[in-house]
Amino acid sequence: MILDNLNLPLPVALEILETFSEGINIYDINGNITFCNPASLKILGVKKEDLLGLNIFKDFGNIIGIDGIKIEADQFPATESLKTGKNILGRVIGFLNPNGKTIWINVSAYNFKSTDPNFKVFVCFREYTQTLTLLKDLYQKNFELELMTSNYPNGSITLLDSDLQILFTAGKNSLSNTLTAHELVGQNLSNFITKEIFEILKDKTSTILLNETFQTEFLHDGEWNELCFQKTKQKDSHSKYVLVINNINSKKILERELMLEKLSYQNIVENLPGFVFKASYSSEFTPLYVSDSVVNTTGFSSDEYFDNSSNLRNIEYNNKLKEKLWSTISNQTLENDRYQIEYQSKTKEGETIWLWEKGKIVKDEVGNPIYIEGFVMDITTSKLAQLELQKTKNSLQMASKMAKIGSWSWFLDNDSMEWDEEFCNILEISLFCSQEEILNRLQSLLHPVDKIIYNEFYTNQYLPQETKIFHQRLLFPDKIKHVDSIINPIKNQNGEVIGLHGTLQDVSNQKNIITQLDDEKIKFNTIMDALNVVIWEIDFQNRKVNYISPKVEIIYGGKKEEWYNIEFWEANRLFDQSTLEQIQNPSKNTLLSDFKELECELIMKGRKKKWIRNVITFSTNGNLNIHRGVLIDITEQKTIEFEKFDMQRRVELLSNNIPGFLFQLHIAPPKNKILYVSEGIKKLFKKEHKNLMNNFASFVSLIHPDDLNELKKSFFENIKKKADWNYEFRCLISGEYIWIRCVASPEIQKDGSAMVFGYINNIQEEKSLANELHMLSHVAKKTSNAVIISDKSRKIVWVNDGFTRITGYSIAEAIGKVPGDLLQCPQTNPETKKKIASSLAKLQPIRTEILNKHKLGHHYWLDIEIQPFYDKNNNHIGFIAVESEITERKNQEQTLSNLIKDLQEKNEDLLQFSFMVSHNLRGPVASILGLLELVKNIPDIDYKQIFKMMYDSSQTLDNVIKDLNEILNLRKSINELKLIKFDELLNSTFSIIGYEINQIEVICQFNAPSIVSAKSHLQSIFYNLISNSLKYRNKEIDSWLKISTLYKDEFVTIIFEDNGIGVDLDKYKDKLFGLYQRFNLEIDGKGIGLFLVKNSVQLLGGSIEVFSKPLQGFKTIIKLPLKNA
Amino acid sequence: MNIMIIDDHDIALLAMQHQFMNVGFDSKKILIPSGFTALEYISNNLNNFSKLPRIILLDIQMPVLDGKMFLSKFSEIQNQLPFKIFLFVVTANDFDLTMLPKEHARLVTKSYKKPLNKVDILEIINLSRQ
Repeated sequence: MILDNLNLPLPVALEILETFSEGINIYDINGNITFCNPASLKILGVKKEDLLGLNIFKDFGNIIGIDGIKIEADQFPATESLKTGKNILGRVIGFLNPNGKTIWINVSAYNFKSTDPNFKVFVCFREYTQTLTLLKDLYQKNFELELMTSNYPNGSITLLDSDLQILFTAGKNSLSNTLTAHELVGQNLSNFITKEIFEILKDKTSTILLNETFQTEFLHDGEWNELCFQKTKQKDSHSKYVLVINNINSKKILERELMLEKLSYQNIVENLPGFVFKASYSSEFTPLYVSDSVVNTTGFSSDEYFDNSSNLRNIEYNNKLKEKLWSTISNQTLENDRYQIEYQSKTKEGETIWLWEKGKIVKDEVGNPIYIEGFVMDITTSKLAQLELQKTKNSLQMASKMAKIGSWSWFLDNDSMEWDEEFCNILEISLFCSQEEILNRLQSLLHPVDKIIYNEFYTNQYLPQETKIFHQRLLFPDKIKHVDSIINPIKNQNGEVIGLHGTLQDVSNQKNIITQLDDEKIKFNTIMDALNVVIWEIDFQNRKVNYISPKVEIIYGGKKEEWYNIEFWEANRLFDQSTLEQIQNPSKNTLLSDFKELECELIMKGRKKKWIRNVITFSTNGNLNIHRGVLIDITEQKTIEFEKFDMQRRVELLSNNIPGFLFQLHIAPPKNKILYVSEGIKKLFKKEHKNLMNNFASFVSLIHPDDLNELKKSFFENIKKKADWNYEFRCLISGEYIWIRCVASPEIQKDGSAMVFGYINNIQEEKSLANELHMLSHVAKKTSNAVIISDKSRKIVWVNDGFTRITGYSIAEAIGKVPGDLLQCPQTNPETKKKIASSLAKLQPIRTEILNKHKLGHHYWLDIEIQPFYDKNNNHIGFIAVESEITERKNQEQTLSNLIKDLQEKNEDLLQFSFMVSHNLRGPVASILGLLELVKNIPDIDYKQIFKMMYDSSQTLDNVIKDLNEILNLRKSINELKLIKFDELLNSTFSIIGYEINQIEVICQFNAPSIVSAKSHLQSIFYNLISNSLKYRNKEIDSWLKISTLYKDEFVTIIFEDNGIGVDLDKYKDKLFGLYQRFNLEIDGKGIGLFLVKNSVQLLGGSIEVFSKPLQGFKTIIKLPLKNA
Repeated sequence: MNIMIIDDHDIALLAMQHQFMNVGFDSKKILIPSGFTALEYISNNLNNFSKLPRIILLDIQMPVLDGKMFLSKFSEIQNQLPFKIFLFVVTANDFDLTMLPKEHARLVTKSYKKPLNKVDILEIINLSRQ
């Protein structure tokens, strides 16, 4: 307690209490008020003097509790505390204040532990009237709310003020999952519901009427909620709106499920192959409900059933049937209230339909029928089919009886067998015998072989799943009956075999015919075999070979399977396109008895060629696509035919293509006759042949008179001698005598006359060619030039004497070799070789000069002309080369050209020299002139300085002249060649350079120890290169210079390589060897060294190459021709 | 109007310097003994107008970087120059002029043969005033 805890001296405590906002009264041990503070006076509405001294037991009356019932004095909080010594906390009591108004206060009484009797109980209280009113209000509301929320077990109720701020919320809260009801108070509703709904509610605040409820459903967190919104009914209330949110998700789901169920049910009903009905339980059958699908069945819409109040079954046209149905239904429903009927009805269009109806009587509790409900289906199709089946069955039975087909059936479950009359007839047994007798009869009659099969079935109780066909023989004492037995399994709905049905037909007659046919077939096949004829049958529509005689393999080879492939037939052209077309379009012009023959060549692997004749007979068996035919081996026949044909053709070809003609004469003087001349005569005797054909005399008249007598003599002599005759003579053809040759052989006939076969051809060309050749060979032989004739592959065929003279090779050595390989040498210009080869390859003539090597080893120059030559048919057959020696001329030419070259070089040098002279002399001269100009124009010039400069310029001029002299001297000394040893040369160079040479390490490797050359030049080269290396050494590192010499080919190579500062060749390459060219100003130099080196090397006929990079040394490679002393 | 004389001969430098003074052309003369130094000078003073020459007299025959190479290098930095520099070639040999590549020859306003006379000097000054 405050005072206890403060532990203050009482007066001080009291002073503090004076300031408290709560009312404080203090009672003594007797209940008299000993202290009150100002707040107390204010709350109680009395003056201090009135209050102090009042006794709690006596002076306070009309105190009431919160329930409005009067409280006795000893039950006041203060009195209770006085009595019990306990603290009484937070009691609400009311009393009338002096103004007559009920004042409510909240009182707590504390019992002092103090010993002072004046201060025993301390009462602290607060004005509570207002609070209590509020509480009451709230209490009232809470009660209402509780009522309300109890109506919304899955929802919440929320009070909102005019701004839709939450004042209160209760119930299972659907506004927020995270905040408690308490925390929601004071927040705006918009934070907890979707924007859309909030907007609607906001709208509603202005429009909603007092007693109106706005209701909507919305999805929240995937669940359906219902929302009710209305105005608060209390006018003065702080809360303006009530919002009830109720989770209706389960309701929604239920609704939806119901809907779906309803829909699907409806669907089922609508899609049934019939309709559902409800009708009165009476013979009238008045419809109570008919599903919409009825229209599909009967054509009437469901409404029409009610309009007409007609009978559901639409069968009033047949009263008898109606009654019959009714009695059926009544009977059937006796047992279990269910029935099933079939009846005929009519559709709206008047069509007769079969309906099937299944129904049930619905009864009340007592058992009285109320109505019938059921299902009707159109079974017209199946009914008709059933009827049809029945008819068929009947007619089949008739048919089987007529066809003498006996039938039987056997059922597995009771091992019972049924059979008909015909069955008994076949077995020749009485219709009325027992099952056992039948089986015994069968056993006794069956052919032993067939019996085995039969027993196999019978004993194993084998039940076939498919139709089985047997051929059986029944052995009767006097005859054999052939029967066809067909067994079919009888199956139930599940496909299980429950029995067998069989037929038995006597086919003895047919069988006999077939047997005869088989015999015929065998005979036929035997004949065919003997004939080597292969028979085939092909189904052209299905492209299938139905049959081919097996011996086809033996006759034609291949495998039987191959022959069964129609592509094989096509590939081997056993059919041609036209035949196939004829087969495919038989209507065009094919007679069924027509046949067609095709011949083709057949090549089978590992076999000789065969010729086949395929004879196709067009079908006569009704199927236009199946045709038969035979293959006949005609190889032998063909071979003979071909040989004959070939012979004829060969002779014909020969006689037509040979120059000249064949003839046959009959010599029987004086009647001589021309029997045959070949076509060639037309070519030979262009105009005259017509007269000659059959006229021997006119042919004789054409013979040159000079030759005629000799010819006659020779001809007849030869006939007498029966010797072959070969004679050349001239004959007048087209007004010109032409040489012809006749070859003939006589054959003396029995009558003494002679048959002369012979051949005449034109030999005019041959004759003239021979002459020409004779002359030409003479020329070729006698010419001083070499003549070479080579064949297509350039191999020598013939050479003349000139060839041997020039090349040194005899004809025997030359023949068969290629001229190039034989004659050319390494020094022969490869360009020329190439030129010749390419010309010859193109068959172009070529003329060129070439250096060749004689058999004895010396070289010679040839002027060579090669021509390809051709035969008369313009086929290339070889080359002719004519070669003349031009060595002397060539040598002269060479000398001349050397001379010219030398002169040109000299001239070039001279030009260079004169340029150099003028250039290098002009500089100092210009300087001197410039100085003189100064002296002339400037009076007060420092003459001393000018003269010094003039002196310097003159000195420069003098040096240039000296250098030029040196250069000229170098040129002169070229003629004095002698052996120079490199080590000696090096030593003399060192002595010229002097002691400075020690600043660089010189490494020498003279693999070539000496050279024959001009010493002064070599000395100049060595001096300049070594002193350059010395001058341009890199002073930062140890410098070296490597000098090496070696022999290579016909040269001496001298290499100078140092590690000096080098030169940027990219920049100075052009000027490197120029006179007075300097590339480094830091080091003193004249710019003449490399110029001299280059000059010397050139004069010695060598070449110079330099390699350098800045700071990477300088390398000079000099090649000088090696001249043996 | 600064004038730069590039020649490896002291005598030529001296003579030309005096000749310019003699015609009363008393502006600054930059005497440079090699093409290399001349290039260096120009490159270093590209932004320093007062030090750049207006006229250059160029010798062709010089060691290391001769007149031809100078022209080639000069053409590369020409675009960076703040004003046109008039180039005159002064050479002892006409022959040198024929060796100038065309694209460099067009950089040269006019060529003269050594030694220059008074008329040449005046002409150079006149040509450079345009």
